[in-house]
This record gives sequence, structure tokens and C-alpha cells, in this order.
Amino acid sequence: MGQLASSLAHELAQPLGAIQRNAEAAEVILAQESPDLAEVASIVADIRRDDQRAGDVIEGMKALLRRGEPKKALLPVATIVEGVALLVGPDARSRHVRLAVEVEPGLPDVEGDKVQLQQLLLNLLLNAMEAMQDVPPEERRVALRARLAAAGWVELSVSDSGPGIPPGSAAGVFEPYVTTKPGGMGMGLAISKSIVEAHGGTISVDSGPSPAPGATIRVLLPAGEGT
Amino acid sequence: MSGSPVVYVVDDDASFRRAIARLLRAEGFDVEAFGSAREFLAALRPDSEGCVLADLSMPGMDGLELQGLLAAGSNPLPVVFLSAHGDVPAAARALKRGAVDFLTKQAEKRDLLEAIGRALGRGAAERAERGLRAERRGLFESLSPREREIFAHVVQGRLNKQIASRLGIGERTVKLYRSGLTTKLGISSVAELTRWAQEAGLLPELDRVAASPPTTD
Repeated sequence: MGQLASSLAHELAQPLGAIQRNAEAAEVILAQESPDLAEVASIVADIRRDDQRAGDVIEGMKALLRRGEPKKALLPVATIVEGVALLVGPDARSRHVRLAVEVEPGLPDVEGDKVQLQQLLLNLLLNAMEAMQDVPPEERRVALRARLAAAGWVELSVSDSGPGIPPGSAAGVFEPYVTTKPGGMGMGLAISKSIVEAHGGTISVDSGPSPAPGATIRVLLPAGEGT
Repeated sequence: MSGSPVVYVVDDDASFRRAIARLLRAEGFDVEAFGSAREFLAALRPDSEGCVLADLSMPGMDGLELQGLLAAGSNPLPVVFLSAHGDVPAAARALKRGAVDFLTKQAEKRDLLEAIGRALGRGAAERAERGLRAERRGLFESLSPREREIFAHVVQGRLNKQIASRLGIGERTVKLYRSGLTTKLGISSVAELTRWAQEAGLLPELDRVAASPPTTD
């Protein structure tokens, strides 16, 4: 939570700082003999834009914090996975992404909130597809897999055939406000992480060897009691 | 990029960069703004005057690294750091490495302007000092080895007679050299010569010369 607070403070300080300096500049200009009103109009437009930017940061933070307690139920993994694959199908097709879905037979159920887990997988899939924007269409592949990782643990993984993660950046990928997408908010993976942690699981990313290493995000969820 | 002092703003956040440049210009400063440390360093000239207002955390080269490079370079402009949040360890590090000040992006305008004023003042003073040292070193280099040697012994507090005996030359010769020094440097007394050398940063060199075997001139 301290990490989030620090990121939030940093991200808000930028637009708030700009608004403050802009307002101060406007004051000085308006006090001049013949104030340049075009400049003041430009200042006002910038203030509006930064106010919007600050608002977006706060909305993003609210989304991150809104997780709430998951509504626990025993869920068959296959149902969740296949449900999400259906949801994301049209998107994948329009982006010329080939989506492969592999669910190991006989997986134990996981205890969790169906909506949150679907949102988790959706985030990861959309992230994977966006990572392959610059990959030629015929090479865009995403694999969504579910398997038994170890006794009592189910692994859900999303792999893409994109550029992968630069060495050393793996941990930072789940930080809020970290994004390579222009105009992106950088909340998707941070939200995914918070969902996983609320379900008692872990999330990690690894990248394959060059070239076109791709990235795989692995989510480990505990199997439900008595399964 | 020369003439009157400029506040060089270095910040990757376009909106903040624009806002602070506007404010400083409205307050009467000359401002040049850059989106990255590298762009700024590429534009920096040996005769650039002013100070740097840099964001602490930037992608690529960050503010601390920029400050390090400036301090080690031929035109070490003073740096005021701005940070989006008060990072105490980073502030301490920055100040220890000689930053003029460390402020948050939302600091009071008064504090910001005061820090910039101090930075520009320090920049002008350091620049003047560097100029003086360079000029005096040039003069020193233009002295003959024997003249430098005599200069060194005078600064050690030796009398003409002692210098003469040490160097194996006549006392009259020593006096001749000393008046040559006076003509070239415009000063004559031991005290003046010593202070001249100290302000030029030449005392260590003179100590070395005084301790070396006599030149054969």
C-alpha cells in the first residue's frame, strides 16, 4: 500500500505542480501593463488538461482500490477460462491474433470471485494482444493455459509472441502507472496483481530468449478446500 | 546560448515544463526548456551561463546523473532539483553532491524564485572565479622556468640572498628576475604574490617547483 501511495503522490504531483505554476504565471501576466490574453487563454487550456489528467489518475487509483473482498465460491477452472476466451474472441479476431486455449483435464476447482477472475484473465489477454501491435499479423499468437502447477496450486498463464520484457524490468511490470502505451494509464497489470493477491495467489512474468522472445504471465491460485 | 544568464529547465513532463517555463519568463528570466538531460547536454556550450532546474526522476538519464556529469565537465552550471515528491534520501544525496537546492514541484513560488536567484548568483561567481584562474594560469605558463622557480621560492618566504645561494646564481640576478615578475604580473610583495598564486590555485604547483632541483636556465 505504501508503494501505491508513493506512486499516486508522484503521479498527482506532476499535473498539480503544472496547474500551480500555470496559475502563478497567469497572475503575473495579468498584473502586467498590457497582459497577453492569448497566453492566458493558453494557460487556462493547459490547466483544464492537467485537471483532467489528475482526475484520471484518481479514477485509476479508485479502480485499483475498489477490488473489495472477493465473493468466494468454488469455480471450475475450465468454465472461467472458456468464458473469457469467448468474451475476447471478437477482439482477437479483429486484431488478427490467433488465440489458443489449453485447459488440462481434471483440474481442481479454485475458490474465488468469478467476475474478478474473469476480469483478471481479460486484462492479461488484452495486455498480451496490445504487446503484439508491431508484430506482423501472421505471427500474432496468444496462448491461454490452465494446468496443475503443484499439489494444491493451479497455474493460469497467458503467453504472447511480442517483444517480451527487457531484462531487469520484470518486477516493475506490475507497478501502477507504468506503461509503454501512449495515453495509457498503466493500471491493467497493477489491477491484475491486486486481484491475484486478494485470492491468495501469486503473479509473475517471464520472457523467452531473443529474438521475438514473447512474454508469459503466470498466475498461481490455490485450489479450493476439499478439491 | 551566450550573453545573459539562462535558466535551463530539464523535465520530461511536457505540461510541467511548459508551465514552469511560462512562470519564469513572466518573472523576467530567460528560459530554455528541454525534455531530457541528453538534449540539454547536447545543446550546452562551454560559454553557456546560468543555472539548471532539473527534475530528479526522468527516464533515460535522471537528474542526479545529469548533475554528476555537469560537475565533472568544463562548464559546471549550478543545479536546483525539482521533485514530484519529497524523497529525503535523494534530497540528501543531491545536496551533498553540491546541488544548490532541492524543492518539490509544488513548492512556494517564493522559495522557487529564491533558489533560482541563489543558483544564478553562484553560477556567476563560480564562472568569474574560473575565468580568473584560467587567466592567471595562462600568465603563469608564460613565465620562464627560472621565473617560475624564483616565484616559488619567494612564496616560500625566502630572501633574495637565500634564493641566490640555493639556485647558484647572483643576488643581483635574483632581483632582476623579481622585477621581471613584477612587470609581468603587476605585483611585487611576498604577500601579494602569495595571494595571487592562492587565488589561481597554483600553490601546490609552486610547492612542487620549490622542492625540485634548480633549473639550468
